[in-house]
Amino acid sequence: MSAEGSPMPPGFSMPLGASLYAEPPYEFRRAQQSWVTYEVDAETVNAILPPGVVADSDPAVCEAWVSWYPWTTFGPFHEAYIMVRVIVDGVRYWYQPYIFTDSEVPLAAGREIWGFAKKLAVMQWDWGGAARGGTRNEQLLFTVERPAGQRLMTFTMAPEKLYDGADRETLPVLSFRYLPPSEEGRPPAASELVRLDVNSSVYTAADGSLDMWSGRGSVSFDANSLVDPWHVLAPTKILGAYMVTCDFSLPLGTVVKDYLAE
Amino acid sequence: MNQIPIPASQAYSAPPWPFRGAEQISFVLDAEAAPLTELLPPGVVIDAGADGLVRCEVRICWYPWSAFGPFHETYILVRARHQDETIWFLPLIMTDNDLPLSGGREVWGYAKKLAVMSWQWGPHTAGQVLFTMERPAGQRLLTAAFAPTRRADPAERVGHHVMSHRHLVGGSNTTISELVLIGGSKALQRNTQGDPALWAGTGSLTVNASSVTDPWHLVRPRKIHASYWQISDFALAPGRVVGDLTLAR
Repeated sequence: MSAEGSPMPPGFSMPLGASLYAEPPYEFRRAQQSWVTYEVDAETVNAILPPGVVADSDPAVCEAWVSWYPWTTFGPFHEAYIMVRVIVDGVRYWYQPYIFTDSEVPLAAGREIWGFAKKLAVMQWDWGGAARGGTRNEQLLFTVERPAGQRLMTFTMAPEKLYDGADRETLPVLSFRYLPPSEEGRPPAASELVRLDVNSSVYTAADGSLDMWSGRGSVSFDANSLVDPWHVLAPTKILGAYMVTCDFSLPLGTVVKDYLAE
Repeated sequence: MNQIPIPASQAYSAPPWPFRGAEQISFVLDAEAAPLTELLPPGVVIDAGADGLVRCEVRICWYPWSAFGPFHETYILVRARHQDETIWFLPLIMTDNDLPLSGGREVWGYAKKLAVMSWQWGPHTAGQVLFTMERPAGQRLLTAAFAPTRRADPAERVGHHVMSHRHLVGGSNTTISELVLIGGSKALQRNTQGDPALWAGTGSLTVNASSVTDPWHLVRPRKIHASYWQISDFALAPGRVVGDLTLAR
């Protein structure tokens, strides 16, 4: 009990006493994810990165990820995001400038804990476009609209071969956590780069092979939206397309650069 | 310090955030004080009467135009004291648009969640505004009805600053936990005769579900004293930090 009034209400997040999300780690089960790796002009990428963060190659390497999470401790939801391979103070990361979800719980947790710049969008994980009256076929179709009716991204992936991931480099995820001041004239509450190390395990088939696939994929950024400028990171060359079913958990991040302290 | 960067894709712009034609109905009521105490942070003392009741307001809102886009909102205010000041503490709030959700949580610590809400006022609502709130869809947490009966004098309304608890946990011990006080006034719209758009009327509140996740039942009315419907224009700006609770955790 504090000197005056109540003790701190229980919980991890606002509202304390009825938290929107509990404390980490956040668990994901049977997450279905697909991504397309592609190239973008490095100068274009560097223009949207925070200070001290630069693309680690020219052309820059990006990944467009789409996800359907049927079971998580946030509830089920879709997600789509772009990753840019960068280097900061000699360490390489996947930096995440843009991300959408369709549930408020991961929206708030993502923004508040790690600084994932999430907004809500309308997304669909749709094999063959069957949900739109199409016939089921070999392609996963994932679409992102914001607002509903403005298509921002169309993603396709046709899994063709088992993929062992041996040529895939695992890097930590980097995000820019910015929390505005609650009082005019004060500095922001946070302006920092946060590193997240994701603990992930891939499912295996009955024969022991990993449930990972490579194939043909495409990503199109349909609308030229200034509010959601995903089109800025449109591909100049597709390098690969992949799909995986996995479990993972998300812990708290680690601050690797504090702009307020500089 | 160098210029502080901001994200490349902002969810909301810099303040102020204007609202136009904001419709709000306030239900002034008494509720049991003790259960609500569990939602108050250290340093905020519930202003209970000798009868164990505390004055509260439940507000229901429809914002047809704002810098965040149109959205509904409903929230609870509990009369409390912080140091020597009587304030409205805001423990629970719902919205139905992600931008005021993010902005509200991150700027002021308004502990918003998304809910499904409806504001109905038409031939089918029997002369009443009917407002419902569900979370998740299908679990009714609040049903409010209001029938305007007379023009009200703005002097009838008792105002206090609104206080919220901004509590944001990050990695590397970067938790922010502070009490934020918000003031500012709302300009009532006026009709062609110059009368303010403020109506008193008959209000009823039903707090349907007893949800542990969203404990709106804690504000179940013991008595409703008055209800008011207003239409106003205003702009929201950051508040004032009046308490640091980072070490209280």
